[in-house]
Amino acid sequence: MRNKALDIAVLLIIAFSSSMAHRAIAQSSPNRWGQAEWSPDGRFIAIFNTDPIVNTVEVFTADLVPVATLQLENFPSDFTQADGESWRGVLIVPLWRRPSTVGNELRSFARTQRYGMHNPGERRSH
Amino acid sequence: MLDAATGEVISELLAFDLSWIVWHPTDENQLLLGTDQQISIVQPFTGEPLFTYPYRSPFKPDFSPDGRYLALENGSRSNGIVVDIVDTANYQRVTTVELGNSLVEGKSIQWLSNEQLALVMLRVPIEIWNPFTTEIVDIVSVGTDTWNPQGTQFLGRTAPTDNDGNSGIAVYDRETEAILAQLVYLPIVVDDQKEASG
Repeated sequence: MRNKALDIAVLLIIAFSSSMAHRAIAQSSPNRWGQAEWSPDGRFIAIFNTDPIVNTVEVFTADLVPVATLQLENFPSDFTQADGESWRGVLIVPLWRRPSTVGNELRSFARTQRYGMHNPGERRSH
Repeated sequence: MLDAATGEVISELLAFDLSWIVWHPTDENQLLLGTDQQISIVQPFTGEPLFTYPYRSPFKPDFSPDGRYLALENGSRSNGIVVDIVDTANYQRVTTVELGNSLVEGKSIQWLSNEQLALVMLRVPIEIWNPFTTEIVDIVSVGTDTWNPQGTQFLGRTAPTDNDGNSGIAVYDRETEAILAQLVYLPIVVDDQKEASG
């Protein structure tokens, strides 16, 4: 009998209440985490997923509940793949500029096509 | 630079080999651009260059929370990572402190408060300094990716959580170094025979 692990990009939330001292969020596929940035108001953490297939910035609450995923597409001509160091500056600094409206900014900023990004504004599921 | 609400291009900032961008925390008219050759302070909405600093700072620098000081690696050789503390009123150096040692694989410099400074790195232990008194005020034994603005929690790595050795991530409490929240990789295993028969 052969088993296989499905690489389903659905983020499952498992709440451990009284049995665990901390919150554990289960993810169904491994991530290669790169640069990370905490928002100035302390509410969100953005982390670059360096997997060249995925190329995303994952946004979590401060206790690691997933909030949004920024999918990066159509990199500028001098990029062959996502570069966490550079993209962090380009992406996350503007996103965190006004932390009180970060949710709106995530959606609005992602609508722009200049950097070829789109933001589903919700958890990934495919 | 884009307007987040409309997507309009506000300004175009010229920088070759851009390594990092840091926005001043209290003065939105100052944006730092770091390249392999220099640090430039520009007016972000017009692109006008305000100041050029002949520093090469591979570590991303950081403004103190009150915006008064900038901490940046000054690139000189020493036993430690030499960090200059610069007054942002005139961009003149105020003092210098050596953090960690010169072999560390640091990522950035981060203020944890207006008096506390640390390298963000995965190698431990991590010393937290008061750069003005050059005293070590705390030591953390977990590698850090980034700190919260209050300097009370940090994002760090956990033991590998998959067969490829990829580390998980967790939020730690600074004082106790206990894990407050973490991402855990749990592969979904499907029986092929059941899948085929279904």
